[in-house]
Amino acid sequence: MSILSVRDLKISFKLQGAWHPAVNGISFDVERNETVCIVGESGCGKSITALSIMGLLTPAARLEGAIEYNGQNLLEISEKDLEKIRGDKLSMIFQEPMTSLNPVLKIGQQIAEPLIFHKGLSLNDAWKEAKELLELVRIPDASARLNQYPHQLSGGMRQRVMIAIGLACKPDILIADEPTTALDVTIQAQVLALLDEIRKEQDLSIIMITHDLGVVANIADRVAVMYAGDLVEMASVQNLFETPTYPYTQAFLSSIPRADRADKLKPIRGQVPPIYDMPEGCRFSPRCDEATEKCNQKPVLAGKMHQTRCWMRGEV
Amino acid sequence: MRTDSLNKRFFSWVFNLNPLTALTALGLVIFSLILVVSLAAPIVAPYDPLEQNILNRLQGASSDHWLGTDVFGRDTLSRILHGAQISLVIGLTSTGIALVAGTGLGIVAGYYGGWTDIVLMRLMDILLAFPTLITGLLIVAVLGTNPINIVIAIAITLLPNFARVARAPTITLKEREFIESCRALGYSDIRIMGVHILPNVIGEVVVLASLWTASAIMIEAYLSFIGLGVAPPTPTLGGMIRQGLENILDTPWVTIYPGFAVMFIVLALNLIGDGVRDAIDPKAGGRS
Amino acid sequence: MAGFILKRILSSVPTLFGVLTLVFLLVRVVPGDPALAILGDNASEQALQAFREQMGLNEPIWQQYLSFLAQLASGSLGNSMVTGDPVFGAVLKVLPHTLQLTVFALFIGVIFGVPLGIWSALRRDTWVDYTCRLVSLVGISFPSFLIAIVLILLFAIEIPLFPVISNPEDTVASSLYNLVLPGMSLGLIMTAFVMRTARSSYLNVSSEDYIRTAKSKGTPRHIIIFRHALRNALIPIVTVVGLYMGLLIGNSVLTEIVFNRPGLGKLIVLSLNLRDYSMLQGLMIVYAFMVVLVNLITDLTYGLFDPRVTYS
Repeated sequence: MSILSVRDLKISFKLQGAWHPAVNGISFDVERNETVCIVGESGCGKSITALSIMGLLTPAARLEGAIEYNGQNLLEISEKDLEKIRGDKLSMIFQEPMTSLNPVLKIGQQIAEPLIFHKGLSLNDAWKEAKELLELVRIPDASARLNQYPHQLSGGMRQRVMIAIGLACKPDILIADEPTTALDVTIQAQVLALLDEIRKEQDLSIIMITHDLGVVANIADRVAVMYAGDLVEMASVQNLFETPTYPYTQAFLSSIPRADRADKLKPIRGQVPPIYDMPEGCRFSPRCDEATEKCNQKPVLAGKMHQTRCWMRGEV
Repeated sequence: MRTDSLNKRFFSWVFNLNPLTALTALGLVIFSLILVVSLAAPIVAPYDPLEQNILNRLQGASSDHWLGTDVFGRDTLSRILHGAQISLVIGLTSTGIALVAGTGLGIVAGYYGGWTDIVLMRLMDILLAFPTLITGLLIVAVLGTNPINIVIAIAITLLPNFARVARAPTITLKEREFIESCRALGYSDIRIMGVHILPNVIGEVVVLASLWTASAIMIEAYLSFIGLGVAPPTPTLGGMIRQGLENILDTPWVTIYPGFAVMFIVLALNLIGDGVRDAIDPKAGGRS
Repeated sequence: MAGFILKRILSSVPTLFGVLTLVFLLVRVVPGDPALAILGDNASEQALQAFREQMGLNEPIWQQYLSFLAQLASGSLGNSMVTGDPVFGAVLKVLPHTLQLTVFALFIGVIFGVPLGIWSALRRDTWVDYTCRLVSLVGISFPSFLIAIVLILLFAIEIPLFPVISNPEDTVASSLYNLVLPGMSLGLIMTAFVMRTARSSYLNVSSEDYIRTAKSKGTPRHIIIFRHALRNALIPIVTVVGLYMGLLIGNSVLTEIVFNRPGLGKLIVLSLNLRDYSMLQGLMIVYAFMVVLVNLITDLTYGLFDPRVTYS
């Protein structure tokens, strides 16, 4: 059984009196010890999806469908029960290491907190555990760092601290929302390698949210491509890069410069339609070169190992 | 068709109106009402505010005297209307002077920088080194209690606030390309400050102006309460409160009514100030 | 720490020096002859001359300025023009009453204002929030003498719990008893100011990324409020409370008049009426010094809440 299973998840926000879907009924599974990347341009709904799994969306959002963790629907359990799972079984690393740590609390306190809440450790034991966690994420001089405040650490260090917090209770699933965007390229590679290593050691599943195809190629087992709130293609990383099928994915891949090919860069024409003016059918059709009459009806996600939501791709 | 959707939008706007937007409108209504009635005091006031009638002294509310009479038998309502007129005129002119002078000083300090900035802002620091009321108190005490001196005293008290608010954006603006290109074109400093910097600064200044008008009116009431306001027998709200205080045990209303008059003027201005700030800075949307 | 305090005091020297000069000049440009003002129209020419001589009013202004500075340097604020007693002594006698009043008001403002402001923020856009915001807006619109008068009418006259005239006495208990109404009248206004600041500061903090991080750890709500959000929200509250202290010190003048309570405010009004310019001069300097001190204390208070502040 999959460790996490998202079923027909719809997320809507109220805008000027009417509900508008930001995520439009997506489904995917995450297996134990695998890394799933969710890619797409900003505003496609990938971060909102991640936050909804953690139950961290504002109460103003309306959620439908199911997010099943170990057979339990996270959308139906109480806030209190969710609190018990958050940080223990499911944890999350955010995009902004500079602002995601509390400036007035010591690093040690911030790492120790989930251990105290979930594992019932004493402050003393949690502090010792926190030191080991800092060593796990390769922070030198860990016991001194525990007594420091976030402003005394560099950006890369802070992101490692965030990872340490995320891993503190040995979760089943770690959700990472663009964890390397704010970092230097060299630090990025180090952080990704670290995550991959820890995943193998701890039998962890990672959901990585990113718009960076370099990160995807580096770390992903499977990739989900999102466009304007739809999940449009899902495949193993190898299949996706070698034989992208969805027109948007193809365009997306060829809009990025690559070292191993000398193709001409092709920007995607047009723009993502605004949320209140979405086409009824395929949401990419206004920008798609291959669109036909049929695309005015909503396509379904078809295929087994390599799924695509497109009328023009009957069989893959 | 079009009017239909306009109507719909208007009604949805009315029904979705945030209770606090309604309060801002209420503030505007109260303030306009007070402004009109007090400016028209000589016409609308039922009695001459100075007319004494010892036989009718310290009366409670009645159909003849809606808010009763004071220790000399003068009509409280008429005196409040005339007093509010003085408060509003002094409050608005002093804030206006402080706004113009303070914004000017702030822009000059920010634009020229260097010693000009240091000297001007040090001067502002000196003024800010006194508790709010004390600056005004000393200036009036020294210059004497006529209306012009009171306006000057309140304006000087408020001046540093405007200067600070105007200076900060000027410093960032003067580094921007469009100011650089104005200089390259050979525009005079005065033209650059007046035509290119001022419009970018004025919004923030005006937002705070309504809140500081409230302070100005409060300070005027405090000064006249202390006995440093416009001299008697001219009615001032602060002076009426002070006089009523002597008979507070028997006739508390004589002091209470003018007190609430001050409160309503200030409240209306604060309501407007909050609303204007939220409208201009939607990010602050009801944050304070 | 000591170095920081020293540096802060040194950096406020130019401002204080400017204050001294300004006060000196203001008092010297007084229209009319102070000797005549104090001794009255009936005083003999001889007496007037003697008074001017004694107060140094005959000397050229720069010489008066120098002796003014020399006098300050020796730690004296001079003598009252009216009573001839040292100004410093007169100030020292009433200063504790004003300090008690303002500190009490500050205390009330913080212990009521911070929780109410945060409650309002936690219930944002509900009736609790709207009520709190309206009450605090009315509160900051209340002239401080009006709130004093209303308190007297309610709790000294209608329900005679407290004295109408606040007279500080020797014992702590009776001093506190006399402090309740005047302290509350200033304290309620302070509460309104602090509520507004606390609300907006808490709302700003609650949308910070680190609060989301705390939630993602499964941190219980009360720990998020008290440990993660409150300490951060207190930092801007400290700044604003420091600023409002100036307002509080100024408004204590009115409270002291209404309650007929001894203090700096009563002294300054008395000196105004007597045209005691040397006393006024001394009082202004004391007021300015208090504001500088409040600013210093504010800066030191940051360090209690914000580890990013260092005193070096």
